[in-house]
Amino acid sequence: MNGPAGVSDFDPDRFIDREVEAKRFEVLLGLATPHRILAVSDDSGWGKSAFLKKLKFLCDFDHRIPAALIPLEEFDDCPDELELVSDVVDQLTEAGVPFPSFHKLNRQRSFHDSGIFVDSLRGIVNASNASISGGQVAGTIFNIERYDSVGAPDWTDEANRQAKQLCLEAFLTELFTAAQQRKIVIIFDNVGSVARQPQRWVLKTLVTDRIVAERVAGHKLIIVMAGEKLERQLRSLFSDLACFDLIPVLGVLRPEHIDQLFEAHNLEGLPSDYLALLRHGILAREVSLAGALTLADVYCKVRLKPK
Amino acid sequence: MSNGQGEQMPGLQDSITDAADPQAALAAELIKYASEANPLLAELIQVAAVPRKFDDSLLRLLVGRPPSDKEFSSAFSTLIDTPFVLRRRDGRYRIHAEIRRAMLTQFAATDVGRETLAGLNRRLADYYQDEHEQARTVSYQFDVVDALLRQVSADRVPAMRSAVENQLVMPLIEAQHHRTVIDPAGTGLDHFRRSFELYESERQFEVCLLLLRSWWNDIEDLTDDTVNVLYDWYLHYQIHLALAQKDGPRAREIADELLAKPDVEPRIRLMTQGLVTRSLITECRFAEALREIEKEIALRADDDPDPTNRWFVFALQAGIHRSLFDGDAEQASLWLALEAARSTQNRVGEAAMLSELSAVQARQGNLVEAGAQAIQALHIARTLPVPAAAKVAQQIAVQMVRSFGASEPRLADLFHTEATYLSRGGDIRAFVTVEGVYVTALTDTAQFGRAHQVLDQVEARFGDQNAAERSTVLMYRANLLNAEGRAREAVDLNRRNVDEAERQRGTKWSVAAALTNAATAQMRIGDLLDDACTCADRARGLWLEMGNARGVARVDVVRAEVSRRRGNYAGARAALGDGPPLQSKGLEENWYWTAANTAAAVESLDEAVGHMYALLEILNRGGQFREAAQAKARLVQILMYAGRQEEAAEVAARLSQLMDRLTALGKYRVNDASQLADEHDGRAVRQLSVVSDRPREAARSAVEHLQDAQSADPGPFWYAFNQAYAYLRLGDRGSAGRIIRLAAEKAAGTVFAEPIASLASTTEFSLQ
Repeated sequence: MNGPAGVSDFDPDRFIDREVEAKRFEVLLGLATPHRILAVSDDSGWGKSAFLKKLKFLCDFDHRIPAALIPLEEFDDCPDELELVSDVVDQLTEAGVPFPSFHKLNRQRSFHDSGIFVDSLRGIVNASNASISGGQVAGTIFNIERYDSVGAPDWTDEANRQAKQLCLEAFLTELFTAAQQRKIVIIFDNVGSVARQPQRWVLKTLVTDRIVAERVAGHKLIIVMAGEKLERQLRSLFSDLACFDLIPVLGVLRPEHIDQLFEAHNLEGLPSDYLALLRHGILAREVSLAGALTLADVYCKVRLKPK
Repeated sequence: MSNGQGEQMPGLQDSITDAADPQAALAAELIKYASEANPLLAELIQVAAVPRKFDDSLLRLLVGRPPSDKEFSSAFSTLIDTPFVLRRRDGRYRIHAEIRRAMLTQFAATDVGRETLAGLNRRLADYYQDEHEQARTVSYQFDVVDALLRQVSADRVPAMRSAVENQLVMPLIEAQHHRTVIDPAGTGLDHFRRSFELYESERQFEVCLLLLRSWWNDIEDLTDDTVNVLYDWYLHYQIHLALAQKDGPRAREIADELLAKPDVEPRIRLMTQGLVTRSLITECRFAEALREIEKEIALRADDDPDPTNRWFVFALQAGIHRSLFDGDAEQASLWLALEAARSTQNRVGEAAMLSELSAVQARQGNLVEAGAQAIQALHIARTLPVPAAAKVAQQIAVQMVRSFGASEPRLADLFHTEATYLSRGGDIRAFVTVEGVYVTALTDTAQFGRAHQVLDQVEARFGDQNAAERSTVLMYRANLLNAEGRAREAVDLNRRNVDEAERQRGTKWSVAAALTNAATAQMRIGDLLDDACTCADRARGLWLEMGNARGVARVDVVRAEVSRRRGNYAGARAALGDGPPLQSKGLEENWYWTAANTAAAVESLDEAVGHMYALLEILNRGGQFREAAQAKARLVQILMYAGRQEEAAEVAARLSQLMDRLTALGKYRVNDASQLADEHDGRAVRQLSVVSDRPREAARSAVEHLQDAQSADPGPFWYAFNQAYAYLRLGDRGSAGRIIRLAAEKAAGTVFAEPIASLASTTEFSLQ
């Protein structure tokens, strides 16, 4: 069984090959090229998620780079950008990147009290040199100048919506401030899954507006994303792919890698002809890696279990 | 690696890699293996693929026969130990997308599979629906105890609120997902619309947004013909959201996109057109709203796709005319609405329209017609089944206070008590409406102390909540102070209202309206004329931005009055223009007053007299007796200056009669007996109108309360009138007929006598 998103369950010994792709990631980490985004495309079941876990593992244990791994498909029951960002913040905070403004604003937001929220916002705007634009743009509910002159508004649904936007802005400000000093990696799995709005936020607000448009210069933020039709999606979205290192399809595993994979999953008891058939199916891309491993696993559990 | 079992192995090559549908074959193979070990495991693998996430309790619900705990736990442990089961960040599990797809493909391959899948989805939808209902209860309770929690455990509030919000939204989205899977364009769409509109009515727009997003995620990839229609619905509800965010331009932009499509379903086109109208009403762009609602009416002309709401559109059109102070057009629309309601046997709509028509007649001084229509409306309200009766009866009670309260203070008290009982447990807006019309009636009859008491009670109930309504109450108080002649205090309140509108980051409309009210109050006080100009100019800018000509005209009159008071008569005349702005739009009062006084100041006395007569006609028509007395007094003065002594004497005599009437109204005092009687009446009407577990006992109790009311105050006919309907509820037509005839006798000499007598002669109240 795999564990929750993250790599606590990731067993590097069970992960076979993908050295070429991992190398490309490490080139990105070197920041020597204009690439800041590694985009991995492939059909479902061919090891993208496992590969992303490996990258997270590499960040955590080899490079000691703060990294967050976000499976976007799990936002299908709450397609909310702030949920997604909260998840990123939790993981990066645990890895040593603080997000004090985000934490403070998000906490105050949950009190549903405009006065408290605006007070926090004022401190944050002052502290961050007015980089959170929502604090100053006229017309927003939480406009500080108007707060000073006419007082805090009541908490309404619209206030809540705008407060969420300000939390998101605070996150981005703090993320890129931190990424000026140190490398940070955020990995998004299953881009193109059902959670379209969080995905849109990733592609538009984070990637397009902040990275591709180079609004934030000189940062050390690396984004990794994977999805079934990601390459096609990115080519339709961006005319200039200079920031991207695209992996259109994961490399074909060699037969010995497949054997190693089965061995690593304790499936060595599999009949050789059955193994051969699975190997053939994988090499011909007729059976996905996930499908083959599933079949083999259940087969071993059922057919080879001690009587 | 052979273990000698290879000969038992199925032909994998044939079954999967060579299969026409490798995914289904993979699933079949997997199920076959699992079945060998444990049929329950095989079943779990299949059913676990249907939800997007699962835990043991959910799978237990989905398996066909209830297994023993031990059997289930063992199979579940095996399941979650397979490589294709992943744990989610919320601690639940999900099947790997590839395997899930394979399983769902296998379900879809046969009729039996499809039927099974639909059944599982239905069970999941019901399961999540139940979870959602429970979460709604918790969410409501959390809101109730939120303030207390903040005091005792502030640190835990954010986490608790987040948990409550997630518990509310997630099951809602999952229930919707499964209904969409079963039947996207049928029950899925119906369920989505119901849920969205429920949360919209509760003003929980964040929930609406998430629901809309997830619904769109579910339908976006559909490949059948329904996707176009569903996309149109998606756009339609995006307009709802834009309106919720007070973004009218965005709402109309999406509406334009949708309405430009040639093949939009008539129902969607109609409803979208309706949203365009409502967006303009919200921005008080009434003239444009009128044009748009005419388009909506035209869409209904031939084959109305939504006949049940046809009456409502005409009612809305009437409302726009009312906002434009076009009484004749309002009445015409109300008649159309009434006809539409009757043609669809919509008795609720019929009662509401009769009540509105009654109000229009009362405003125009046609009290006999107003009385007849009011009785017809009340007859429907009293014979409607509950709970529809409650809302209609409450609306009519409010309308009765509005229509008759200024001329009959006793009726204001009676129907205010009924409205209060009927709106108990309702939302704050209903409460404010009831108290607001009552305060206006009390103000009109010079019962200022009582009006202040009512507003004090309203404010006490608000505490520091309900911003929008607080602003309305400030406005009522300012109007009350103005009526009392406490102009400076009224000015202070109007200023506070401007501050409040700005503090709430209110709409341009609310700020402009508050500024205009402030300017109108300030223009009457000599040392506040500069302030009046400042407020007027700010308001004018906002009205211009909104394209609201009526607002612009109102502040122009303020500018004119300020010029007049400063002795700049040429400036006043320039600001007033050639004639009253927007004829028949209710702006003439201030215009004629200023125009008359400006003309008098430059000794164009005949012109001044003409303006004053015009003003009086408007005030008399609207039943504004106090303002009429003020205008008559000034007219007497101008006539005397003009040397028209006899005419002045005639007007003075009419003024004297008017003052007698006002004095009589001012002497009205509520007494204990009538108050007690009204209380009994209010309780009885509530018992007749709201849902009860024991309707007959409720009707019997209503009869007794109404008897007590008549004992306490035998004079008014209303208690007997209501008691007749209580008897009808009990099926006692004999008593009903007897009592309504008594009511008709008591009503003699009032405008209600004839309509009640007519009712008494109908078959409903006779034994034959």
